[in-house]
Amino acid sequence: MAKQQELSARKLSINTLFLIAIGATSWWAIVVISAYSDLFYDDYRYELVVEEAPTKSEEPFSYYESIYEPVIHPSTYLNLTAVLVFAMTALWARQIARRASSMEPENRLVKTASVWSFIALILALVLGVIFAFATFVTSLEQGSGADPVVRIFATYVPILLAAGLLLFTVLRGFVMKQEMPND
Amino acid sequence: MTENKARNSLAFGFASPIAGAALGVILGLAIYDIFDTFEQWTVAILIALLGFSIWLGANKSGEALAYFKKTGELSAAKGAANLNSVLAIVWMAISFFVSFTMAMGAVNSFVERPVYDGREPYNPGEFTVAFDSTIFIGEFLPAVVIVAMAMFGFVFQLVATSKEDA
Repeated sequence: MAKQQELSARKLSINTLFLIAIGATSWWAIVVISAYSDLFYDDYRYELVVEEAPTKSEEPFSYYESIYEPVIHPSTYLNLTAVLVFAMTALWARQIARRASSMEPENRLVKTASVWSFIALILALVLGVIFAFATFVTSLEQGSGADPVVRIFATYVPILLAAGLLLFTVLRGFVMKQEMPND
Repeated sequence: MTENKARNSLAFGFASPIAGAALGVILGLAIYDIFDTFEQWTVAILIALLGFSIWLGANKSGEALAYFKKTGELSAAKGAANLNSVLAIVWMAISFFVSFTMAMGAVNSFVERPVYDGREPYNPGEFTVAFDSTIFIGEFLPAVVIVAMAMFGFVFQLVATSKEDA
């Protein structure tokens, strides 16, 4: 019976570690897709400007002027999705790790899985904070004269969603956790 | 497992990552000297070699640890297992970073900008995004292989250091 329980705790720990690996790989994949999508959206528009030459014998001088016109980038929401996926897998992994911990608290693999699930949860929170802060700094770059619709969907909504995600992750991971025997 | 076998496993546990790292460095240098280039697939192969040597070390130190747990002579076996665990973490972190920068570089390589030949007006917004199979196979695919290796290899390495039976 003890052996069976030990094996089960080991299996749960392996599942925990695999879940974290899947979460991190998904984060990587979604961030790469978001970087690719960013190639199709440019905040700058280029307009041809033709200037008269000072003397009539010379040809007029022409160049492209860059005009800053921020647009809503899908990458903002893709990056948020990447953090969401990583945070959800980290939460799930933490839950499984705690179950394994309640079965075999002294097992080396169980301890390893428990530590890594905790690290993954903290990493998810850090990524969420970085996302929100980066969105805020980018909005400062846009200035206050940006189109309100762009402003709302490129700044306010993502920051609110990130805050909600962080709150949910903190509460689910550290406060409203499922009770375990011998926890 | 006999004590002699456990000691051999312990020796392998310490030696394997060191030998793997040395072999990887020499192989990398040799490839660079012979071909005068360092392609992304070379990086993937070197990371795989290093990862395998760490996994082997973790596996052997895990076997030694499981045996010495029974006899009580734990310190050296614990040291080998911890060494391989730390190396696995470092290997995973570096591989993840390498794959990420490699993938980002590959994604940006899909952009084709007009060549500036000194004649005005030059329009920087006139770029195209085109799929290039050479970039995909030569730059992007190695990054995917490295990230998969880093994340799932790391799990195997950690599991290998925590064996229950010798």
